[in-house]
Amino acid sequence: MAVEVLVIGGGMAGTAAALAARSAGASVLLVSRGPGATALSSGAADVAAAGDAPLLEAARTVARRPGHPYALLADLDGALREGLLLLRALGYAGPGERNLWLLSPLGCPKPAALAQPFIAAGDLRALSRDARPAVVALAGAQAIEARLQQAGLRRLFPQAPERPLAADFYTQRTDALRGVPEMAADLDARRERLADALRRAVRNSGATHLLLPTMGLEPEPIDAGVPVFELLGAPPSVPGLRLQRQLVKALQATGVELRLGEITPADVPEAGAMVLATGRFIGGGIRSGATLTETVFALPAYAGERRSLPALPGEELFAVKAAGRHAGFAAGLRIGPDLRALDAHGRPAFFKAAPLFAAGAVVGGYDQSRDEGGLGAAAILGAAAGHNAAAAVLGARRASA
Amino acid sequence: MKSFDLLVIGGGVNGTGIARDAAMRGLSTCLVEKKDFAAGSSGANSGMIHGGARYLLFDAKVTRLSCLDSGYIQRIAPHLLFRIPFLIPVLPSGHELFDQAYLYGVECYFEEYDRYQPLKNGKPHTRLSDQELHELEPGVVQGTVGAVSMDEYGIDPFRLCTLNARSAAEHGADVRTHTQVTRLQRQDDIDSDSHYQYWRVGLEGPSGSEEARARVVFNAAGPWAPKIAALGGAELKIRPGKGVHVTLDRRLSNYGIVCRAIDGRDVFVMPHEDSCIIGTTDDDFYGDPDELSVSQDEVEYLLQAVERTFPSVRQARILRAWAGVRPTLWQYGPLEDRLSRDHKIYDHGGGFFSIVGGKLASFRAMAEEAVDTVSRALSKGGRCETHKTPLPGGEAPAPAAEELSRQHDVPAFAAARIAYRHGAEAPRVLALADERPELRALCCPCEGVTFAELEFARTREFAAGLLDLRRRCRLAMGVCQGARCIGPAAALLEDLSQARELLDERWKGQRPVLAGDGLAQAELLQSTYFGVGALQNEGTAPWR
Repeated sequence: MAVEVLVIGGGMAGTAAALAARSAGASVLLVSRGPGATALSSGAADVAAAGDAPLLEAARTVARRPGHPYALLADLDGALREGLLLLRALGYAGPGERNLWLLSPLGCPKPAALAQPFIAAGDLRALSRDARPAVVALAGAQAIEARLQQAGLRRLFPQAPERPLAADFYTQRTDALRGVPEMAADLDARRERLADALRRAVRNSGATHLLLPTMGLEPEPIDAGVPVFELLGAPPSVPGLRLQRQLVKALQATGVELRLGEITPADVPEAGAMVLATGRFIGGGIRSGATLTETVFALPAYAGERRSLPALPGEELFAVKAAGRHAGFAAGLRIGPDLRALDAHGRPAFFKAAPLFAAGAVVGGYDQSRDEGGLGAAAILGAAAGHNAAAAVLGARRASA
Repeated sequence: MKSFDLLVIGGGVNGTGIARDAAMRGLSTCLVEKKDFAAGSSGANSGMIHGGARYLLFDAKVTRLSCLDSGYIQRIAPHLLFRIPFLIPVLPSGHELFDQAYLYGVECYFEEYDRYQPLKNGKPHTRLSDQELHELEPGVVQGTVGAVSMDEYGIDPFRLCTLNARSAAEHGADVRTHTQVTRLQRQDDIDSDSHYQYWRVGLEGPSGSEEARARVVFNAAGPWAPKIAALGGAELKIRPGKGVHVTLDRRLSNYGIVCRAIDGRDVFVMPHEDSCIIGTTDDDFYGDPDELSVSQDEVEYLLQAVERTFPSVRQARILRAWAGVRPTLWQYGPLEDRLSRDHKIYDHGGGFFSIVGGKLASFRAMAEEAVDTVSRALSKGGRCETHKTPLPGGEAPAPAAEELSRQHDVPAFAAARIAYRHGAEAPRVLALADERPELRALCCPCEGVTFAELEFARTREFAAGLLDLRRRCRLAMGVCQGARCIGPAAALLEDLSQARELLDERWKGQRPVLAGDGLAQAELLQSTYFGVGALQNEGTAPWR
């Protein structure tokens, strides 16, 4: 029997869609090619990060940028609430009504609506100005990066220790080659040893809070005598891996059928409705050739108003400065008000009579690296698309009954 | 106020070469560079020590000098040179007899070039049938008439300049990077101390402005030479030529392949370290050498040329496009390709000289000639030794990478890159990692750069910031273009201030060629620095 809702893409948006459709009572099949941008995410979830009140700020984003997919959501507030609820169910924490401010891997303050619990606990705004937080240096490149992070902390907390806090968790010369993901595995295996090392390091250091590069793939509270937080992860990030695992668990727990592999129009499983959540360039959902094109159904994609491209589209799509606003990184499908993907004529797209919905970065109009919503936007759009897809099939089911 | 016999302006290959030669001959020398070593033309060329086979017909003198000096450069910096065998396929024109004659002509041409090959330890040419050609390089288009091979050498031009400057400093030269010449004034009254006429040189550097005195000023500023000449009241004309190159993400071939562009010019694709370089264009340039950019037309011209002989270039990922300016000798009339690549020393009078033209491959000979001139003007200075005294790291063969890797516990790949870049000095670089174990870690996995190498560049090689580190050890020059390494390298310096500038510098090269899979890489870089990295919030506390 054909499934009712087919979701293509197993990142945040696809999972949110699958869970929403499932909770509405539809049977769901999720096809995933493998980890994408979600698995590289930092542990924070942006909804629309600028400013200080994520929900309000998202509404402002809508007003400011009419091309943003939030602008199309009929019930923006409801969708935001549902997206945040899903993130909370996945363990993402934070007040939600105002941003967390977290220390970035470069030592800069990074706003986020929510974050994984040990990361959210390190909210910089919650620390008093005379706190003395210290980044823990374990080994190798991480110990060097900790210096930049500590320098960033010192700008915010003038009494913080000058240097990162060296902990003697590692002892071998070759341990210098351990990267943060490897450290996560080491910590999982030797949690007590880490706690001991931290307690020894804290003694006489004056540090009031510790920031660890990772608390392992299965984080647990660490008793080091002072509060211990986890830092945001740069790719390849441990929080991203952790989230990807949780997504799979959540899908399995709710009875979504999972399938791994590439998908082409020739082998798309039959379904009553479909949700495309294949990501942008990292996920592989959008490709640039002579035109910008969605990769599974060859739907048209756009960067701003542009679709056809010269062989080398760089100058058309990207700003002169790296930090500029790049139309190319907000490239994607166009969608209608119900999150239906639009075809070349601007009409809602179908595949073999199944309506196509879209969510996440495959949808154009927002750039995850700017203040336009990252993981949070994927959860919000995904949940909404999943609802709409389920409503489409369930409506048809009821009608035929 | 410091006084020098010689003040050299320009930290390119000519300036650093002159400073080294002069310092070794006992002249008190100051080298001034407004940015960094090889930050201009010397770092934006094909990275070849080549004999100039192209100039054999109309400029054989240049070919001879290039080949001769190539041999000397091999002797003084053996670790820095890598052999690049070239293939010159001949494509059918539709007239068989003509094609055979043409191939014969190409062979005769390189038979002539073979006379110069022994000067630089190059192998003589070989004539290859179509089948033999494809056995060597299956990627060449099918159905050629045949091919001819020849031998050339590649080099890391950034390191060549750095090593010359380091050697100059080790011989007592005062080396100043990030220092601009603001004033150049001849003082005609006799210096009461030295009883010589001298130049008063205004310098603006990291520690503020100051004045230096020099009896001779040598202008080796490349495309900026006319500006410097004007500063000293002299007129100097060059005919600047812009050359564009494209870098691919991998070695498409282990051979250099000569291809024909649509206008009949020769263009090559060749392996360079872990990448491939396509070059080059040659067009008169009228703009500001500080504001170079590459257009999509220029990139397309190069790709079209290579595609005809090596079709799979269209599937390759282009990492970046970049441009440099040749400070070619002034001549009115000839097409760019026919301009002489010869060099010339201009005597502006009163101890002010300029050197322009020439080739990377003959820099040492040019420097020798320049210092001979200075030496005559000052009636001071010993004999040139630069043809036999090794550059730092060239004193002995580089240690084997496996051994370095084992002894210092660094990845074999990184050890191999250190052995290439530092030659006999490699153990000195890695000794830093023995003292401080964290320096053993890789900062840039694309190019095999350990933190130890960055620390060495920072403390011993005049690297003042991230931009300089890139030129010292190829930081951020690999396939990810800095997505991975710019943050960690800034952490080693504990200074984020040049991160944006380096990101912009890398971005400038990527932007004209960004497409296909490169977009995913660029998207990841964006999220690393402007998403999770929040570089835009540096130094702020928006909630307070």
